[in-house]
Formats: sequence, structure tokens, C-alpha cells
Amino acid sequence: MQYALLIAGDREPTPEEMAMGCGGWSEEMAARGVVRGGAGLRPPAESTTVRVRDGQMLLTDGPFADTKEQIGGLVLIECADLDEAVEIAAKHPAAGYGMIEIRPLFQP
Amino acid sequence: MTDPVAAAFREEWGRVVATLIRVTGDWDLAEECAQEAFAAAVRQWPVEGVPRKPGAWLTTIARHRATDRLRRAAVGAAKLQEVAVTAPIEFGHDSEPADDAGIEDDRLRLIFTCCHPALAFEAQVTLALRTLAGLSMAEIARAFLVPETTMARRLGRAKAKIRNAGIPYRVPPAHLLPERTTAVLGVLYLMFNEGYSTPERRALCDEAIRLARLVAELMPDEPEAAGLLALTLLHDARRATRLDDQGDVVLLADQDRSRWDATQIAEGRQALARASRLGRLGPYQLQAAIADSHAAGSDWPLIAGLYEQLAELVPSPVVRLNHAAAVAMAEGPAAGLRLLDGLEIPGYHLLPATRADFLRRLGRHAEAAVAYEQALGLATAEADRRFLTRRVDETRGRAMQPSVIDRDEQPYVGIRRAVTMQTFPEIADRMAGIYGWLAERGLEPAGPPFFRYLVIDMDRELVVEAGFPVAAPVEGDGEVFYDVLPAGRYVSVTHVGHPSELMGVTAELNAWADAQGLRWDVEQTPDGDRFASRLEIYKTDPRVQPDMSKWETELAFKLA
Repeated sequence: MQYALLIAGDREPTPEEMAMGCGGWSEEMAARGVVRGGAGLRPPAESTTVRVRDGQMLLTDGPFADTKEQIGGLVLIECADLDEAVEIAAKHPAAGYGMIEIRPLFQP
Repeated sequence: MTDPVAAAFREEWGRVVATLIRVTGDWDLAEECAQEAFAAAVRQWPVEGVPRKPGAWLTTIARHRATDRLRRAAVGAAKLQEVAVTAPIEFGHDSEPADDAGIEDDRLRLIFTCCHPALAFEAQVTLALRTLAGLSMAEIARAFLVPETTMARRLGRAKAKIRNAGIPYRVPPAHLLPERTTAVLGVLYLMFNEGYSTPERRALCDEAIRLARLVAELMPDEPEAAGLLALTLLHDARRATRLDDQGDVVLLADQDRSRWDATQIAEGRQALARASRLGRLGPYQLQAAIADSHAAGSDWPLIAGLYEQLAELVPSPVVRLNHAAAVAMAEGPAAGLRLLDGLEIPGYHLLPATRADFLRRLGRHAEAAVAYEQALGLATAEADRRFLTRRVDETRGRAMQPSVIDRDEQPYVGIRRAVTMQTFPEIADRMAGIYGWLAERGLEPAGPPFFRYLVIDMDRELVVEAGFPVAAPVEGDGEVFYDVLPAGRYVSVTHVGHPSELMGVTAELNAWADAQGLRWDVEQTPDGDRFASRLEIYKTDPRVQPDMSKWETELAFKLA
């Protein structure tokens, strides 16, 4: 099974949390061979949202979802089942101050 | 369906579906094939007789149907192979498939999957009722009081999530087992409560008990599984007496115990005993033990102790509330009230309602009325609202209305004693003696008798006088002295009720005076608080009204 881990929070990480990074998580998951890709995202204030309606392109400053929680990063993983995905997500340091949504991918 | 098939359906449906899900990995296919197997039983059993092992017969047929379907659909060879390998070639009503082992595990797999914490509660219950208990969509929709289409959508979404999110079909590995077992029991417990709190959803209670029985049987080493079964049975045994004809809640003390279900109580007790033998206490066993004590006549000190243990295991404010209620029954409302200090359960009407009940029993009616009003503001069930409205009216009617009055000097004769709360009768019993002393001198009391609290140190002793007002000065004699109650502004309040409630009334009066910014005429001394004039006046003649709960008592405290 493949999943996207959407890492979200209602605030920016503190400098200490930033400094900690993934705190050994990346290394452990790389060793297990479950990570298929991913990236950390810059703050939503720096994002631009695009949509095309009736041939017209509309640009807006900021993220599409105007909610308190914003996605700060994502990781693609491949593992046996949801239980393992939960275990992997729960080990990520961001689960300790933000939250992580586990979204299954369409299977190829 | 003929009767043997109906019986087999109830007994075997879950088994057949559970096994078919394992071998096909497809929940819809599993259900459809199980249905076809039962349809085959309806046709064949009346003709060929009921097979010796109906469950195995049904599973075999269902597997063949699955093989056929998968072959027709020409799905992946691997899946087809697995079904073919595990399905015996020969079958009939005498055949005994060799792979009985693992069937029990299939139902456990199914339970753990239905109750996976990644599913919402409604989805968990819907899945369990459909796949394990074999309820139809119409029956489940009725149990939840929602339209059948809503229920069908809910079930469809739940199955899609299991499939697409990769929820594994298995008994969790050892490191997840304790947590996941708790989740399974939690789902059944909530299912039971859902039916228990809403009479129209009663079917949920029956199904929760059935599933709890199955889980207890499948997990014989898990004491909490037996504990949950005991808990549900012992509660359900009281269902006939819980509500009156109007649907109002009947308090435990008022329930007709002869109408409790003795069979259920016996089965519940057996389950609880089984759980206890496993020697690992848990929240369900404790709650079952509490229900068991109620079934045996409510041993309140025991119940209070059980709640205390429960509060240690489950740090929930609701448990602490129940603990307080049990302590109030065991030791009195004052002890219960102390345990409510600092307790907060937003939106939960039973907290203010319980506080109100304690205050009412302590005679603190004004505070009780306020608390009942708070409870009324939170309660939604009609029966609760009717009860609380009645109590608000009662307590408001009895609530004190203190007033500030001017009292003239009052000559009196009295006897003085230093007593404690325990030795208070030493002074109280002298009242008749003073009356006799007056009579010997041909004098009539000029008003009702009173206690005058001179010095109060609740931890040590009180200096109290018992006195009778007199019309004119008289000479004291022996232990009877003559004195004058000072004139001045007093706060006066009249209490109608048992004098044992006066402690509460006094507390209420103190709170009232504080709120008004009024201060008593009192001086702090090393011996305690010395009051200028603090009176408890007994206005009811015991010879006229022997029922103390109807007595009228005036508190009159001199203001500074």
C-alpha cells in the first residue's frame, strides 16, 4: 500500500523543533525502505493559488484552504497496511506538535 | 426461512462471512456468497435434512459460490487459487471439511477489523452488526433511527475505507493487542450504551450483549471481555423497571427488584466470577461489580470503594461524579459535596443536578435551586427536564429569604455549657430543665427557647447557652443565670425542616451575608470566634408537632 503522509500544524515549528528536523526518523525509514519521496514546504504565506474558470486564469495570494491548520510537508511511503502507516506516522516528530493525515494513494 | 435455517443464520452468519472475507479479501463478495449459501440451505435442508455441522456446510457452499463468481469475473489467478485450495472439493450435508481450525480466528479477525480505530464509531457498529451479527440494513437503520439509504451509504463508505486505506484483516500483533482489545470492547460498550440511553434503540443492547458474549468466548484469557459481558448483562437485567409508563427514569431505589431478569443476573455474575479468576482488574469488571452490588441491594460503602478504584484506573470526571454520589449515599451529602469540589464537566447536566441534590439534602435550598436551574439549562431529555423543573420549584419555595431586622433587648434565663458537636446533647437536653425552673417560680416563658452560640471553634469546642426569654428580670439561681440578649440589627431567616439541616442553612446564610457585604458582630479570640449574639430559635412546640422535619427554626445573627 502507498500512502501520503500530510504533515500539518496550526503554527510554524519553533526553532528547536526546526533544529531537530526529523530527528532520526528519515534515517530509520530510509533503512526500512519505506520512503518513496517527499518534501518540506515553505510557509503558506508564500504560496499562490491558481484556478482556471471559463478559460480565465485566477490567481490568489495564499493557500487554497483558509484554515488554521496548514500543510507543512509531505512524505510518500509504501508499507504493508494502515497499521504500519500509523506506526510510521506516529514516530515522526511533527506528530508530537502538529498532526499527520495518512491518505492512501490510488493504486497503480 | 424455516426454523433450523433461521437458527443457523443467527449462529453461523458471522462465521461464514468472516471466513469468506479471509479467503476472498472482498467484503461485498463475502456477504453475497454467505447470503447465497443460506438461500441454498432454505432449499435443501427441508429435503435433505439439516447437516450435522451447519456452519461448515454453509461455509463450504459459500466458498464454492465465491470460486464460481471469481472464475466468471476472471479475476487474478492468485486469488482464485487461494479460494480453490482452501475449499474442499467434496461437500454435502454429511461432509466435514477438514479446515475447521481457524474459523474462530476468522471471527476474531473480523471483530478487530470492524472495530479498527481508524473507523468512526457509527461505521464500526454498522460493520459489526451487518457482518458479524447478520442484521439487515433495515434492522440496522431502525436501531440507529436513520433512513435505510443513509445506513447503506455508511456501510458502503466503511467497506471502501477498509479496502482502499489498507486496514488489515487480522488479529493485531502482540504489541498492538492490548490497545486494540480495549478499542473492541469500547465499541461494544458504546453500542450497548447507545441502546440503553434511547429506548427506541433497544435492539443495540441485545446485539451488544450477543457480540460481547462472542468476544468473551473468543478471548477467554481477557478478563475485561468477560467483565464487559457481565456489565452489559447486569445492567440490561434492570431494563423492565428503569422507566415508568411515561418514559420517566425510575430511580434505582424505587425500582421493583422482583421484575429484574434473574437469568441475566445469574449469567452476568458467572461472567464476572470468570473474569475475577483471571486476576487482572479493569474498568469493566469494576463497573460490573458495581452493577452486581446494585442487583444484590446496593451496598453503598462497597460501591463507593469500587468507584474509588475505578477513578484510579479511569481518570474521568464522570467517574469522580459517580464516586461522589456513592459516597453521599454511604456517608451523607456533605461528604459527597466535598468530592465535587473542583469538578468540571462542560455541558453535562448530571453534575449540577447531583450538586443540587446534595445541597437540597443539606437544607441549602437557595444554592440547590440555582444548581437545579443550571442542570435544567443543560438537560435535553424531556423526562429529565420535567424532573428538574419540579425540583427547581420545590427548592425555590423552600429557599431562605433572609431579612435584616431590629431586635430590642431581650431578658432571658439560661444554662451555659462548653460542648463539642458530639456532646451537643449535654446542653440541648437542659432545655426542659430551664422550663421546669421557670415553672417552679410561677413564670411563663416570654417566647420560644433558643440556643445562643457564644464561642465557636468547630475543631475543638463550642460555648453554647440554652435559654428561654422572660418578660422581666429575675434572680439567677445555681446553674441557671439571668442575662440580656443585646439589642441591635440582626439578620433573620426562618428554616422549615429538620434541625439537622441547620448546618447547611447556616452555611447558606453566611454566603448570603458575604454576598450582601454584611458582617457579623464577632471577635476572633484564641478560644474561637466570639459572637455578640448568635441565636437559633426553636419556634415549633414539640408537643404540638412531634415530626421534626416540619419544625420551624429562626436563625438570628447580630450584625456588626
